[in-house]
Amino acid sequence: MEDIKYINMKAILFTQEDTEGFNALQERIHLHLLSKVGVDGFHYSADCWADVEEAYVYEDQLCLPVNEYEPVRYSYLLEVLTQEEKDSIVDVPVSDENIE
Amino acid sequence: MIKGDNILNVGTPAGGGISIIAADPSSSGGGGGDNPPITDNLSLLLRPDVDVYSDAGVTPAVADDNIRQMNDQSVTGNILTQTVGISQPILKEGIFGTGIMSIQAVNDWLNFSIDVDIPNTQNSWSLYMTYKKATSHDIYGALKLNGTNGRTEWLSHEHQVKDTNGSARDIIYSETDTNPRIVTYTLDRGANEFKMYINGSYIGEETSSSVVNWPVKFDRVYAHSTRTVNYGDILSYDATHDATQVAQVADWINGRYQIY
Repeated sequence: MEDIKYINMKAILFTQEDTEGFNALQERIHLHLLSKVGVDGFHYSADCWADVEEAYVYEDQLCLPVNEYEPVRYSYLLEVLTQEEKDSIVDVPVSDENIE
Repeated sequence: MIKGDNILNVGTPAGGGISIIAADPSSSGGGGGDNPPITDNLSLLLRPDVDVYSDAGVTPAVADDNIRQMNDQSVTGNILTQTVGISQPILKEGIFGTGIMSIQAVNDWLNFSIDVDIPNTQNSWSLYMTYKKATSHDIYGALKLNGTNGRTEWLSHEHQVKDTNGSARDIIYSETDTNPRIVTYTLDRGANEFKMYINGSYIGEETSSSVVNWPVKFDRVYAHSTRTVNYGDILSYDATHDATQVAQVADWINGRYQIY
């Protein structure tokens, strides 16, 4: 049997019906990062921050990932989140099998 | 002789036009020259230090930039892209011994414009991948076919390559550390052989399953890993390299990364 490994992904969860909420937050993050382009040499080029069509679903909820491994982008990402949104970040277990 | 004046390969990329790969005399014996020592049938050449962009092919990425586009250096002219910000890998410097650039990915990937496709009608294939795991865990990297189990896997006890249906061919190999490696897989359907090499040295071959009916295809790279991996050069050839050729190409990669 295959040995499936798990890690935790930090994410903000939305109901599967709330694609509007998912898109609103990902767009806020996206636009904030775009506004920082050129600040201290910061680069960011993307069409969106996260794609709801490819969002990982955990316990019937859409996961908007907020892990970011590049520290400058991560600090900008946190800037755009309200305290309530930061408090809603949860660790979602994800197996290698679920990652595209 | 002027550097770069030795034209080795002229071809027509799938997207049209004419591509020319020039090789320098210094690269012919391996050891880290500008071009691989073998360019015949080279169908994919990904170099983290060449044609890597933080945007849609205009601004070269620098260390710690996220990567939106990367261009294949083979005559295929594959263009790799990722337009979703959270899924973009990062260009890193100094992970490998020479300080050369590498591509760091965790839950990230780049999409090929042209799939790496080895159908049953193609007899010969060789794949080279340079990588360094950040942890000793099993890694499902770096090539993947979306929506299927098609992928390459680096497990603690074996390497696997899975075809378009998820059918694995595996070779026993113990890998429980985070040392950088150059892995090579060679396929010869005519001889029904699938072999594996590490750092240019022969490890073993698939012994229990046929590779005659075993179609392999990938549409993305640096993919399908929930743990951090740094990737160096990745090369794919539509040819079966023998042990001497594998050592020659691995030595060239090693000249760039100082792995062994």
